[in-house]
Amino acid sequence: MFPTLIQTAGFTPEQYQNNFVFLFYGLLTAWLVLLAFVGLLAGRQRKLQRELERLRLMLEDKGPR
Amino acid sequence: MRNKTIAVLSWFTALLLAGNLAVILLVLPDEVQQGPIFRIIFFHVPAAWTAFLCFFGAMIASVLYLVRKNLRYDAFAAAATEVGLAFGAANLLTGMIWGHIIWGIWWTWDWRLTSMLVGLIIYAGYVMLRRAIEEATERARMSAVVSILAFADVPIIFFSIKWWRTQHPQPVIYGGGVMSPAYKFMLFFNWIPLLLLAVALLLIRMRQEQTGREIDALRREMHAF
Repeated sequence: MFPTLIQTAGFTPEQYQNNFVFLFYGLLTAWLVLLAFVGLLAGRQRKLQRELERLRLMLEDKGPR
Repeated sequence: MRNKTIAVLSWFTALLLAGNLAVILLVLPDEVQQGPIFRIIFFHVPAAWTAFLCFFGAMIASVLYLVRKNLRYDAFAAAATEVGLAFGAANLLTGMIWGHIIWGIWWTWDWRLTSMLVGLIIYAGYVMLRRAIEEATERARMSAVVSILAFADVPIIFFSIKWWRTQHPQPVIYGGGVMSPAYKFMLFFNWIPLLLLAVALLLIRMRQEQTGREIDALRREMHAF
């Protein structure tokens, strides 16, 4: 399949491979950016949850007085 | 309920993306002039559309906040801007990788690329501004104004390739350009999972804004003791 495509596109096998490698980099980059954002959200969620729990506990301690 | 919605959206997105990726890599043929790298368009363009939609949503929510003073609109604007920034960054970076192969350069100060970069910098400024202001209503008011002003860049980004002579390819969707129906279908079809992903991220980020408000309320309560 590939040799036919290479002829059609007029690429040398090296150019074709390089083209494909950069397609991989492109897709990887797109998903890494989105994954980094998801990681950021997850980290922030944990931080907020911890702070919320801490404040609730502090209020419970103060509350019954 | 919201957790369930996010989980369903995420799973549906993952399945759809896996299916689309298989079709993009294994079924669709190479573009004759560009070769395999052309396939990056199926993520590059929908990522830009998603980012623009998020910025549009943020602008509308900002206007609504200024009119109604409801912090839920502010939460939506903040969430949409951050999600838009992530998709915008993915768009710009994939474009640079495509440009490296097709143009032989990573970057050029072309109208489209430059206006997109400027847009992302302005929206990053919006995020930084929000972190710099402590008081919730003041933060919401100031960031709503910035969001409305920042949106002025979005039409410039979108129409830059029509208005000015650019190195960036001319529009194939709204500019009378030609694209194979199979490519065009996949371009729109791959937008669906990206949109669903954006909605899931938006819901998560909005819940964080809500949690942040709860924390503020608890802190005020603590100080009242």
